[in-house]
Amino acid sequence: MTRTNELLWSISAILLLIVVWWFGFSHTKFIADPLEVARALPQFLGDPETWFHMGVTFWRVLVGLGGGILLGMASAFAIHRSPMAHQFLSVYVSFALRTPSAIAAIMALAIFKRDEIGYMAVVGFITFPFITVGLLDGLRSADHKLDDVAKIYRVGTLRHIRDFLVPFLAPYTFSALRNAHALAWKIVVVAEIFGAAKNGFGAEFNYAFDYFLLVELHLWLLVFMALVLFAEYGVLRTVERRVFQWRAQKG
Amino acid sequence: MNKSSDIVLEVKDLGVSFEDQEAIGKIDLSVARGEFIAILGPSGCGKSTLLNVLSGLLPPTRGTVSVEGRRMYGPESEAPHVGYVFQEHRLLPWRSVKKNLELVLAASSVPRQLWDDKINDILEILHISRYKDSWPLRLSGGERQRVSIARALLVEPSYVMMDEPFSTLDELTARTLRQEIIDIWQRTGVTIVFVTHSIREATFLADRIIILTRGPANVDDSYSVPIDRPRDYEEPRIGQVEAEIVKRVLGVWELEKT
Repeated sequence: MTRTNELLWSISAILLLIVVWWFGFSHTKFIADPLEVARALPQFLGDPETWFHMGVTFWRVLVGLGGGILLGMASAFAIHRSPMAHQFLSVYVSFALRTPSAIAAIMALAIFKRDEIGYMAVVGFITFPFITVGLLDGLRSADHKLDDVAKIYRVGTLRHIRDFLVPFLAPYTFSALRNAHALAWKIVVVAEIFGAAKNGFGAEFNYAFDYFLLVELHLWLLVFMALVLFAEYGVLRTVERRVFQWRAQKG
Repeated sequence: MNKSSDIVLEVKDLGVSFEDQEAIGKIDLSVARGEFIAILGPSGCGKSTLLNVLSGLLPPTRGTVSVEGRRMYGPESEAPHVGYVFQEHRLLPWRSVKKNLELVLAASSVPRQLWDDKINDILEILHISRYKDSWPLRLSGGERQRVSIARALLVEPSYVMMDEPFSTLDELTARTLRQEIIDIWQRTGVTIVFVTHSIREATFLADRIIILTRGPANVDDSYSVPIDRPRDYEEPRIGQVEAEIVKRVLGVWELEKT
């Protein structure tokens, strides 16, 4: 598919979404008028409060996901290297994979009360097993032929990690990261709502929902989606394209 | 010729076993500095195992390997500087040609200030200067193998091992590279241990052919190729020597009809 075709399909999908939205507005009482939302959008975007709350949520995702990545990487390497760690840590990975996000959020509220660390801990706890499982797949399919090259040419440990291992694991890392990233945004909202946060997107969304402020509810949703899509396509995918530019075939 | 009397590689009473399976029976071998030897043996005879031992990857079950007079696999021994050209290029696809070469130079004894000159020189010799900043996956099979040869030569190795390096290339590219290997060998005086299935290739390239028996490998013969250089891949004399070696190995490799 050419780039123009891709763009056309994406635009068609967005237009269809607007039609569905319009249809929903015309036939129910719970969906706001798209035109009214569009009219309120500039003022909403110009309000510093909006960006304060989105910033709070973004920070929770960033720190929580960062923690999940570090924890996931550490547990993947430990499980791969040591049968004992495999037995021990696999229990935690399975447990985290099967814990519903809402339960994790309630437990975090019970443990951390309304402390910031609680929201981040929920994101880290729910995302780390996805990183572990993704990286383990990579470690298990390691190319030992390249390891032989490293040994024969006496490549040191640090260079081996930097030039052999990390690039080899990059596709697995990015794949796991994409999943964990998408999950992190969803979980942070659950954590903010169930954790009765005072600020952040989840708190504001919950407030708008409780008071039936339909336009505000949709505005928060639109800005939230835009931020998540920007993080995914504007940042993650751009970095990914740059990292994998070596894959381009002979022209 | 590049030969001199000093011994670069000496293998004595070498044996390798994996649990109950014997991979190498007994190998004695010595390679002089600047010599081009070919190791010829049937599939599964233990050639790869032998190369793994000579490259420092696999300690032997029995016997000794000495490089430049120093024992490998001893308690205080250091891995030797060797070059290795694999059947497939084994370059890091995510690093440019230059970075691939710098990576092995960083682990060698070549001073950093000489890297650029050495890289430029070797790429020039192998006619791949224009690919210095390219990704390996953008090169053809022959070009990648040239980079792999450049990598092996750059580290100022005691010897370069080549494990059927042209077997995956088309015939024309393989022929060109065979001739270039000879030119580089004559120009640099590097010692080469070349493993191949092809008797004609061994005859064209080598000073001496080490003929191995069927596995577990033993040295059947050390055959000095009686043809002056320069050689032509198609010259009748090569065909005659090839036929002579074929006759010799048919019995040793137990391929004759009974």
